[in-house]
Amino acid sequence: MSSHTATEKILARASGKKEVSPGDIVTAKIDVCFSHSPWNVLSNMEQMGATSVFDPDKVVLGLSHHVFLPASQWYANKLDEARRLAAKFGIKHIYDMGTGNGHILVMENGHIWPGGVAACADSHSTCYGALGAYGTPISGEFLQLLLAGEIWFKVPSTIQIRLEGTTRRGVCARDVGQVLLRDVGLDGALWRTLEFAGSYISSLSVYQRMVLTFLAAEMGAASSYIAPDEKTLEFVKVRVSRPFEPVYNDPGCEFEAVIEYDVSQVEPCVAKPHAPNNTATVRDVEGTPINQAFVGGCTGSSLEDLRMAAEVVKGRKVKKGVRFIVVPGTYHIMRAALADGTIETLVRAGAIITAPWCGPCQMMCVGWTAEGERSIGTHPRNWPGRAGKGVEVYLASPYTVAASALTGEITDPRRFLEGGTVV
Amino acid sequence: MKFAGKAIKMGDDINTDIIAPTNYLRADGEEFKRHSFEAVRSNLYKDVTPGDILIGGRNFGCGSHRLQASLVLKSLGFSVVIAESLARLYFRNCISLGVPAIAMPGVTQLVQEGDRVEVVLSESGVTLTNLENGKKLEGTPLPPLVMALLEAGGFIPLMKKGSHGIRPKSS
Repeated sequence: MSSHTATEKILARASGKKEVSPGDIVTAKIDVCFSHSPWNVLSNMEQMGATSVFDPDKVVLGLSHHVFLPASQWYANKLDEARRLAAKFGIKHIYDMGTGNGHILVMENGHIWPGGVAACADSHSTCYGALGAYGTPISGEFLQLLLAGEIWFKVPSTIQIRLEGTTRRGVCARDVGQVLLRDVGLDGALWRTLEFAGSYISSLSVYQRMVLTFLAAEMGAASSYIAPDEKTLEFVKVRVSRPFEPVYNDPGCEFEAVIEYDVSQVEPCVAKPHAPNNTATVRDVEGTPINQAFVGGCTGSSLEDLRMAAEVVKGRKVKKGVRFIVVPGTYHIMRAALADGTIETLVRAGAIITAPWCGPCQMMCVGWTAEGERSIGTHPRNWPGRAGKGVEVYLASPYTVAASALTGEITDPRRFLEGGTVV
Repeated sequence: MKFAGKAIKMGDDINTDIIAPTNYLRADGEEFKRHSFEAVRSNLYKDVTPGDILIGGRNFGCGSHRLQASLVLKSLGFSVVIAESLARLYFRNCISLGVPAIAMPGVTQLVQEGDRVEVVLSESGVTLTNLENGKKLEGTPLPPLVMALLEAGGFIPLMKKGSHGIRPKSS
């Protein structure tokens, strides 16, 4: 047998083959499928006369992904329909209003594990690589997942990004992600697995690793991978009750490309309108007025993200006229941020906290901006049309977003951080 | 399968927020169609004659998973989308819904806005002909499963037939 990447080995195992290679088309069994908007697919199941899903334990509905409460009666009716059908088909794992972002819930509640396969009806399903799982989006064929629990995959080749060093004060994984987006581009990892490795990755928490594995979707990747280490196993061991076997690259396996970075030179960055890879340094856009600042979304809603924002605004006040919205990713995160005083610090500074959900990223619930307004947020996307017409959206780290909320203009967070130096 | 129509061209990284703007996801089909692509080209729906061929640049369909972005191509009247490259999920969504979407590197060089174009899709490959000048572009064959999905009109009809291994787990 030749040497294989972790992705190839996970897909070989899930498809019952000895080995598979990039380009092979395989039918693989999945360990979990998650949907946030399941009403149509469940209605299709009902129309077909189906009576149950392939395995009630492997289907997760995250109804609170796009809305923390229904934003219209249309939505309320759809949620009601989803609940009725989920009960009919015996689906056990339903995360209802106010529980948060479905992907993070899948990981926090032990529905996926190192070496597992997740196929979910959302483009950010690349995130599961943070745990060393194969995660990939499947949307139009979700019905097949629900009924058969298996689906075809084209085995991707792997691009490895090696990140070494330590970031400076006021710089975090999101800034590193913006540098990668700038260089890899929106399609540089098209149909590939994007692996993140190196000493910088080892130094990050599981949640900060997720920032990069979520952003892999913006680089076109089919999936991502981070080799499970002690931190990963620490994260999953209290959450996953079944036995699992992590999967690692074989020594000498073939990568399509290896890209190396020293993160110690990375500065606070933004994505300018209207694309996630339109990266600039904060220095280049400092002073640009903003109306709304948002900390949340899949790439900025962990406890650490909220703490970064709190550190910047502690003892200060949000600029009058600026809406500073903070949305914890899940109820676990919200509880932790309540317990450690992070939420109190944010509220005292003037932040608007909502129950957990994706937040105003793709405008499915609340938090719209008016035509002509400009916002900055930690969410992953700023495409035209996503947040309404005639708006400009900048993307940045929780540090930068919080600093901008204080001044009403895009601001280098190191101006507010003890030990921060604006160079 | 054979498609013929005039070409309507788009640039690189046309994402699903452009194809299917969030503002109008809950609008009725006609209203929704009128706003499709408006961030890069307003009133596109007026320019499409049924059967027209959408020519995309690199990474066509990147972004969110929304199926409306695939389905709206049909309601706009496009018969097929041919792009330099296709985002993975968009490709899978289109094929699963029976919307032909094919990656053919070089297509944006060969075809200009308004050109009459013919696309022939068979098990042996894909051939695109610019009928204005007879220039041809050959593409690699689509996997048999993908051809079967397109011929059946999508994944649900194919699953109902129980062919190509797409079937519910027997209970």
